[in-house]
Amino acid sequence: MNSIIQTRGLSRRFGRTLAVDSLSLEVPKGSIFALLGPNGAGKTTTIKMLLNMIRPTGGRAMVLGTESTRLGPEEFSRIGYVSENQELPDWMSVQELLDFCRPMYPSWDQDLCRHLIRQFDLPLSQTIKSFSRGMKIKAALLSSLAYRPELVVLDEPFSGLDALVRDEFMRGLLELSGRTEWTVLVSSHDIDEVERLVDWVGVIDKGSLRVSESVSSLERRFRRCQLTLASTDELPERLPPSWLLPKSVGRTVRFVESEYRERTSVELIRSLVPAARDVTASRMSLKEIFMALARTYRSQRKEQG
Amino acid sequence: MSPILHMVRKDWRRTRLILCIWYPILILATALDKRAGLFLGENDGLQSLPTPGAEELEFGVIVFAGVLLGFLELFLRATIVSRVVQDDSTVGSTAFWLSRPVSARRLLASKAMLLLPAMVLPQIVVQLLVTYQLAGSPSTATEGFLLPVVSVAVFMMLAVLTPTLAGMAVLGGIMTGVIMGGFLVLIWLGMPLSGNLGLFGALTNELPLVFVLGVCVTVICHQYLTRRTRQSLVVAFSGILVFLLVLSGGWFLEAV
Repeated sequence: MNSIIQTRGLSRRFGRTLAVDSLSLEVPKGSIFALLGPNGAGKTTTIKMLLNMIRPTGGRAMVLGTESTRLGPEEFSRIGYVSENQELPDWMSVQELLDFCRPMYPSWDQDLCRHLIRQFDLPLSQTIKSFSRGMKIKAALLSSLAYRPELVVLDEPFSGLDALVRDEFMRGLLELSGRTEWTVLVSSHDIDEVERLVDWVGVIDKGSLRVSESVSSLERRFRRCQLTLASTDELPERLPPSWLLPKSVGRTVRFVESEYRERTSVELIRSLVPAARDVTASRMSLKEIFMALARTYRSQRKEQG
Repeated sequence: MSPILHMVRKDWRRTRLILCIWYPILILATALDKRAGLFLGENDGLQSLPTPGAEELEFGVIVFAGVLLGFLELFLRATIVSRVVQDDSTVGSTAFWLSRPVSARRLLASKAMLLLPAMVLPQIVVQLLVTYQLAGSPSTATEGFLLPVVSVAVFMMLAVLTPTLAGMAVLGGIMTGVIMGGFLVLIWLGMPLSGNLGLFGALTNELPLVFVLGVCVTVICHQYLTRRTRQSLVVAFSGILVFLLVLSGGWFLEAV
């Protein structure tokens, strides 16, 4: 796999708290990669380590072929970064911000910049300080896309944005995806925000990467299964580890099969539970998969105390 | 335009208004300070000058206005340094420049290139002019050159170690407290006071200022190049400790 970001055992400790724990991740070139996880999972810390904003306490990361701790002006002229926490020079107007950023980037595309200004409907002469949160994020995005970066890193860009702004933001990104050969790494705690956008997903939980694969592979692999039994006693004592969140309601048993195979899985269920009737396996949306994984990790943590 | 000049231009645009307010206040505050000094006849070399307008009221007004303007000037000076340095903060991980093609070295160079001509030079010129105008004698090297450089360096050091103007004030207060506390401890231990500049005094009277400047420059460079704020704070406080030890001279070592 041709990766634009690669990490090996990347870790970060803040005092006694292990924020990121031996994270090994690959972001394929050209992908739109969503780093998903609940608040406090370690997404922002991971991104900050990738961009040399904080130092890792263990492991290493390569970004655009360069060690993350050695990223310099040359690499940053190829990276666009937008974060909910990022400070903008808010005393400037949008025009001043663009005038300030333009000379830093040899690849600055003035036509694209004009196009984005129109699309985001940003007032050029107003100071950024007077902007709403959504407009500030749009200004940050504008100043981070106009030079056609090879890698765009978006850290929780949508949190707190209303649906309209989020939609404009998303349309801007999707439209550009058609025009530009880039890689996007977007972190979010809400799969709804990025579901339309991404083609690759990494799920991070308590600093550990639990899943990292393409959306199509996940959608192939996960199924919501249901079967009917005469009695729940007919279930085997030990269920396969790939059956997530098993739950029985009356005589109906439901679970999420995380290793579904088109031709064999239903037969396997029938062989494990011979008394099973009406076995069905239905496709799951990315959101349903993410929710199932999040609930599984939470219950695993509870079991581990 | 070079990247450094590009940053200088940005910072100049950010601070030009407040600089324009600061310049006349700097002139006034320095003039009032010198005038009050003349009243008191404190300044070395000015003792023989006639004390102009010795009325008590005039003296009171000059001292009061001098103190007010002095505080205002100090506040504006801190605000300017804070804007120049903390707008591109080296503390934390949210500053705009961190994700932009700006190197720490160039950033530091740009800050120095703005602060030297915009803040240090005017102070030197004002010191020289006011001293010459009021006293008719050239200023000493300490007054005329070193003090403005050191004052800006100290403010810059406070600014690179903190994210806000309030943080600067708190850290400045803590450092002043540590220095004062250190002095008091040394005096309590029996260190002789009269004319004592410790090991500094063995060389020149300007050496303490040179030492402070050295500590400030070390801390500033370390912070810009590494962004390890805790380490930089350790360097700064170690500097204070060494300063106190050197100031106490051989006396402290003998006492120990």
